Amino acid sequence: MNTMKQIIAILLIALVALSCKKESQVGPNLVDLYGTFAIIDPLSIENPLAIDFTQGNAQFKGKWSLITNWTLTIKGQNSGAFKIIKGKSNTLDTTLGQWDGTAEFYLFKKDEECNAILTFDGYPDTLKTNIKIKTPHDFSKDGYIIQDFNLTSFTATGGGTTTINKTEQILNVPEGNNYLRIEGTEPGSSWWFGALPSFTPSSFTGSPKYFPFLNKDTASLYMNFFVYNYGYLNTKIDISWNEDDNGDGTYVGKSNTTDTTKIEDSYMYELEVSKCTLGWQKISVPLSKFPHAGVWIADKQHFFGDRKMDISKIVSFDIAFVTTGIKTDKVGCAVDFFIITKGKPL
Amino acid sequence: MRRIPIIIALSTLTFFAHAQNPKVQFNGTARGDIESNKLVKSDTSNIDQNIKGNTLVDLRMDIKPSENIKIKADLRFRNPMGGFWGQGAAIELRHISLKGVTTNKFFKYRFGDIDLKLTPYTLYNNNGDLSTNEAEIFKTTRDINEEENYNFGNYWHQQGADFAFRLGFDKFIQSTDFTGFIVRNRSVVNNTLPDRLHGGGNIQCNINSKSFIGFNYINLFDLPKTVNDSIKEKFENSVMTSNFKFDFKKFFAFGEGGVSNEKFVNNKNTKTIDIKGNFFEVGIGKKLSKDNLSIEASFRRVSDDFYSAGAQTKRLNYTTSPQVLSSVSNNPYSRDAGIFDVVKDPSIYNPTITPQLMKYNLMFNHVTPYGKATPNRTGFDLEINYKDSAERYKTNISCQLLQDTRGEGTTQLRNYALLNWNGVIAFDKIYHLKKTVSLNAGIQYAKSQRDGQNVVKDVDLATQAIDVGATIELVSRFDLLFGSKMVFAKGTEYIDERDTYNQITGFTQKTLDASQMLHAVSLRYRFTDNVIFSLQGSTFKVKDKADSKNDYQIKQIYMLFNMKF
Repeated sequence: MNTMKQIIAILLIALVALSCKKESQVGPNLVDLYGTFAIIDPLSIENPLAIDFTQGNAQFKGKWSLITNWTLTIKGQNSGAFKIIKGKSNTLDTTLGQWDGTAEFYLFKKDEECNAILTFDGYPDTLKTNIKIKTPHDFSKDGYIIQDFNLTSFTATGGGTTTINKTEQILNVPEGNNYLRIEGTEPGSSWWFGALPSFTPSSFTGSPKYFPFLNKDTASLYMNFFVYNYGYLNTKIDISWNEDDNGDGTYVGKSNTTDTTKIEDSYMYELEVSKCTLGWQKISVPLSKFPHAGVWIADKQHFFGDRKMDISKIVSFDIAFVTTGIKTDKVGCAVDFFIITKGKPL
Repeated sequence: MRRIPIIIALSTLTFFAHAQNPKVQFNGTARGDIESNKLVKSDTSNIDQNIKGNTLVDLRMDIKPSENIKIKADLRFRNPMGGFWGQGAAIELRHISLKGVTTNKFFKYRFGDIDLKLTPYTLYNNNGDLSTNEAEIFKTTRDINEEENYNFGNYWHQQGADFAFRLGFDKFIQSTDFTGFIVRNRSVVNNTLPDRLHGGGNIQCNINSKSFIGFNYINLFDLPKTVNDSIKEKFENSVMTSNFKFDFKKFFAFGEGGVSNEKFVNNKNTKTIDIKGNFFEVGIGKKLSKDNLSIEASFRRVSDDFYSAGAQTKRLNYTTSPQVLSSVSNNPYSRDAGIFDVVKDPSIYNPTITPQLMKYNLMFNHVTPYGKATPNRTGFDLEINYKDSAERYKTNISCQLLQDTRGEGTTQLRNYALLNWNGVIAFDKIYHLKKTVSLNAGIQYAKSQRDGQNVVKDVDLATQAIDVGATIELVSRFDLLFGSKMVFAKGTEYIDERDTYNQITGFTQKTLDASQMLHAVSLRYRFTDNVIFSLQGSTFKVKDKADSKNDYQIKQIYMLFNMKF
C-alpha cells in the first residue's frame, strides 16, 4: 500500500508541475472589440485632390477605438459610380483601406469629384471626406478591352435595316465619354441589324496567332459589358469566339468552306436584351458558360468542329446585334465597354 | 429495375433462413414511423406542414464460420412513406465487422465497423446535451436517434481494425492489458485533402481487480502522400495520458493527466502550427450503504490549448439544418436545432471525429460543452449517486465549480457553475402496485460570470434546463406517458471565434433572453417487452424576448411501431 501512496504522490507532483504555467490572456483584447466606441483619427486620404489610379491604389486613413465591421462608400458626383469597401478592423491605415479605383456598376470618370463616407455596424458615427480622381482605374491592366466606344466617331457595321448607329452621351455613360446606340427594324427576314468589328490578337504587340488565354482559366475569364434596354422587343446580342482547331492560324467557318467536316469550333453567348430589366445592366459571363455554337444550313442547326472548348486557340471574338426574326418596327439597344477580365468579373 | 436488387437480397435471406443453424443467427429491429409536423397558424410565411414516414427493417446477422471467428452484418431495408412500387426504397449495408480470437484465446482482433473508447480526455463520445434527466417519452426517440448513428454508450463507431491481449504476471502486478487500434477518419477528398487516420492504444497494468495504472496514446494524423507524392502538408493531433484507479479499503482514488500536441506542417516542410496543451484530474470516491450511495469528488485542470479530437468532438452537430420545418417565423429565417431536434432528429447527430472544436448551443451547456475535456477549465467536481436496492428511488446530484485557466480577451477569469439534479420515483414499487407508475424530474443550472470592469459588458449568462416526465400504466401494458423539457437562458456571454487550428481569433457577444419548451404526451401499448406501438403528440415553442420576430412554434403528431427481434 505504501508503494501505491508513493505512486500517487509522484503522479500528483508531476501533474501539478506540468500544469503550472504563468498565463496571459488568450485571443484579441475584448476592449478592442466591445469597449467604448470613439473616433481617434478622422477619415482622410493621401493626396485627396489628385488620385491617379494608374500609379497605384488610393490609401484611406482613419482610426477608431474598437475592432468593428465598417463600410466605406465612395460615390462619384457625376458618373453615378459608387464603390463599397467592407472590413473589420480599428483602422483604415492598412491594405483594408485601399481602393483600386474599381466600381460596383458604372465606372468612375477622369477628373471626377467623389464623396467618401465611412459607417460602422452598430454605431451611429459617420465619417466623411471628399476626393478627386485625376486618372481613373486602368482596366486594360485587368484584361482585354474589346471596345470602349470612346473614339469620337465610332460606328458599328450596319445592315440595311439599321436606323441609328452612333456613339452618344444622352444616357448616363457607364464608362468613359460615349456609349454606342444602335437601332433598326426587323422586317421578318433580316435577323440582324449591326455588328462590331472582329476583335483579333493583332491588337497585341507582336500580333500573336491566338489570344494569350490558358485553358485552365476558362472559368475565371469573364466577358463583361454594359447593355441598355430601351424596352424594344425581340432584340438580342450575340457574342461569339472562333477557334483554330487545326492550328493553321485561321478559323474555318461555313463561309470559308463547303466541306462541313473542316468547320472549326465556335462558341456563342446570346443575351436577349428585351428580357433584361429596363435601363443599364452590367453583364459578366465566364467563358466556360459559352455554349457551343451551331451552324445554320438550310434552316437546320448543325454542330461541327471537335466540340472541345480550347480557349488557347481563339483567333477572334465577334459581337453582333441580332433579332428573334419576328417582324418588329423597332429593335435596338445601347452598349458600352466590352472587356474580358481575368480572375473576377468587372 | 429497383426491385431487382431487393429480390436478389430477399432470395439471399431466404437461403440463409433455410440454412439457419448455430453458425448463423438473425436478430434486428423493425420500425414503422409516421410524423406530421405543423407550424402554428400565425406563421404565414413558410411551408406550414410536412409529413413523412418510413418503414424499415434492420436485419442483423451474426455469422460464426468457425469457433473463433464471428462476422456481424447489419442490412437495412427501408421504404419511405409514399415510395410506391419500390420508388425510393433502399437496401443499405449499415455495419459489417469481423472479429476473432486466436485458438489459445490470447489475442483478440476486430476489422470493419468497430466501437472504440479510451478515456474522457483521449477518445470518448460524450453524451448528447440535456440527456441525463430525460423523461421516458423523449428517451424513446433519442434512443432511436442514437441507434441510427451507432452512438452506443460513450463509444465512437469507426471503421478500421483493433486488437487486444493480456499478459499475466506473478509479481507486483496481476496482469497487463494491451489494446491498439487504427481507423480511417477521412478518405481522400477531391484529390486535395489526404487520407486521415486515427490510431492509438492503451496499456493497463492491473495491480488487482479494482486498481490499475494505465498509459494511453492517440493520434489523428494525415497521410499526405495519398494525394500527391510532392505534398508535404500534414496535420496531426496527438494526446498522451496516464490514468490510474486505486481502490483502498475505505475509499478509492482515481486520476488522469497528460499532454496534447496539435501540429501542422506546410508544403515547405515547415511546422507552422505547434500547440501543446496539458491537463490533469485527480479525485477520490467512496461507496456507502452497501454500494447504494456513492460519492466522488475531483479536481481537474484542462489548459486552454489542450486539444483532443477524440474526446472533444460533439455528438450533436449544431451547424446542421434541422430536417423538420427548417424555415420558420413571419420574419423567415433558418432555425437552429433546438431541444425538439435534439430528441427527435437523427440527422443532427454527428458520426465523425473532427479536430476543430464544434459549435455548441449556449442554452444547453456552455460550461462544459466538450465534456470533461473542455479546454480552459479548472475546478472541482462533486457527484453523489443514490439508488435504493429495490430501485424505488434513484437520484443523482452533481456540482461543478470551475474557472478559466486563462482569461479570454481579458486577464479576468470567468467563473462557472454547473449544477445538476435528477431523480426517479417508482410509485409502483413503493406502494406495491401491479402497474407501473413512475415519475422523473431533473434540473440543470449553468452559470458563467466575469466582471467586465466597466469596460466591456459583464459575462452573466444563466441557463436552466428542467425535465419532468411520468409513465403511468393505465391497463395492463397500456401506458400513458408525458414529458416536458424546458430551457431558459438569460444573460450575456462571449462566444469564441476559432480558426482551423482552434486558436481564438475573435469573440461574438451574445445576449440571450430566450426559452425553448417541449411538451409531449403519448399513449403506448407494449405488445411484449420488445414490441411497442405509440402515438405521440408534442408541441415545441421557442421564445426570444430580445426579438419576438424569432418566435416560432411547431406541433407534431408522431406514430411509432418498434420491435426488436
